[in-house]
Amino acid sequence: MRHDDPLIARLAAANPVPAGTLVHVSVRERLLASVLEEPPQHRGRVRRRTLVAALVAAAVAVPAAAFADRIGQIFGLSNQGTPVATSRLPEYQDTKLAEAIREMQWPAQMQLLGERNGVTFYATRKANGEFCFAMDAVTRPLEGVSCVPPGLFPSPKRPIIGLPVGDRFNAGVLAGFAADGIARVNVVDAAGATIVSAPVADNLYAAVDVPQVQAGAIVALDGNGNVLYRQPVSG
Amino acid sequence: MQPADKRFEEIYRRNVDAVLAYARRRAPADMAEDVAAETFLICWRRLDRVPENALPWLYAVARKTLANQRRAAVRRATTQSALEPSSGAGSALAHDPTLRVAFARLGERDRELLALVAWEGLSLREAAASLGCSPVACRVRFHRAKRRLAQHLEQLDAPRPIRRPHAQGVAR
Repeated sequence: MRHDDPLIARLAAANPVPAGTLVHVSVRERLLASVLEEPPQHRGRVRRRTLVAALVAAAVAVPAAAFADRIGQIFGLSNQGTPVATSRLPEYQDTKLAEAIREMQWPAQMQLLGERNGVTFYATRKANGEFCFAMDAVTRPLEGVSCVPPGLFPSPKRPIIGLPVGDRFNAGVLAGFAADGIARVNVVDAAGATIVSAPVADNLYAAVDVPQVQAGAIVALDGNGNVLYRQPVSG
Repeated sequence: MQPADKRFEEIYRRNVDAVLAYARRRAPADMAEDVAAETFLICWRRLDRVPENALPWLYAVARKTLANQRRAAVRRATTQSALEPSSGAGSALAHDPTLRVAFARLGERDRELLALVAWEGLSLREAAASLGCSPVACRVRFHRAKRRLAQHLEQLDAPRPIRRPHAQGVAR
């Protein structure tokens, strides 16, 4: 069924159990025949057992692909980093922020992914699948930690994540995490001209001293210069 | 073949896949199979009450059966994950995580109405029949549910930052 409403269409597209794919035809026929061949006076409890048994058998016939996670569609993050204690985050020196991080249920250990242009990158994945990240720069007040819902990053929908997402470059830093396959992250103005460009290495990128200009979008490019992702920035 | 048998056969043939899919989207596999079996058993016993368009009625039976199964599971204190109302839907939405979270934040009534339309492919009139409300009330509820889902999606599309009070950088 086609849905004109984009929200309902999105919900419908997220349905991996389409009708008509569940019960194998032979199972369905066998089940029905067994039900109808029973004497009418015996129908009831006996039928229930028959139905349950047949439906259990039907479940075996369900195509595995119908329920498979679509892992293959999700971009990866090859840089697994090295484990470090979460308590080393500068935020832990601020009591309230440390409490907030604990409330976010960060694991006691996170991964140190590397350092670019004075920016240090940390990431971890919580037990519930949320991707959490932090960036720290010794000389710049850009600290902040954040978590995104499971599966959102890294994914084709959001292959980069970091600073900034708004149009504010107060800290003068473009930095973040990029999924495998992203070679460069650019900030472009409203006309599409590149304002700043940061190469990606080991899934990390950082450019400092970004000029204080109005940005139009952040774009992620592959090694051939193709734009794989475009994220408009709002004022 | 008796007329009742023939009618049951027709209802069964036409709807067994849809009913099992309905249950599978909302519950773990083992529970879904029980729900589908129980639904058709009730269908047989109450065949005289089954309307001509049986599917919305079957969904209503399946929904009540599912609720009973969940209550029974609570009494048996089985695993917590099996008891979450959205556990089936959550796995179904695995490839759209933002939508999964937003959908899970809706109330049960909102989720059910949206799912009946988006996943089961019912019209609003059929959904109303399944939910036991008037078509007008169902339409109003549908639009409100969509609005709430859109609001949750909007909130979730932005990652949640925490910042130093004096930080100049912006994390999102």
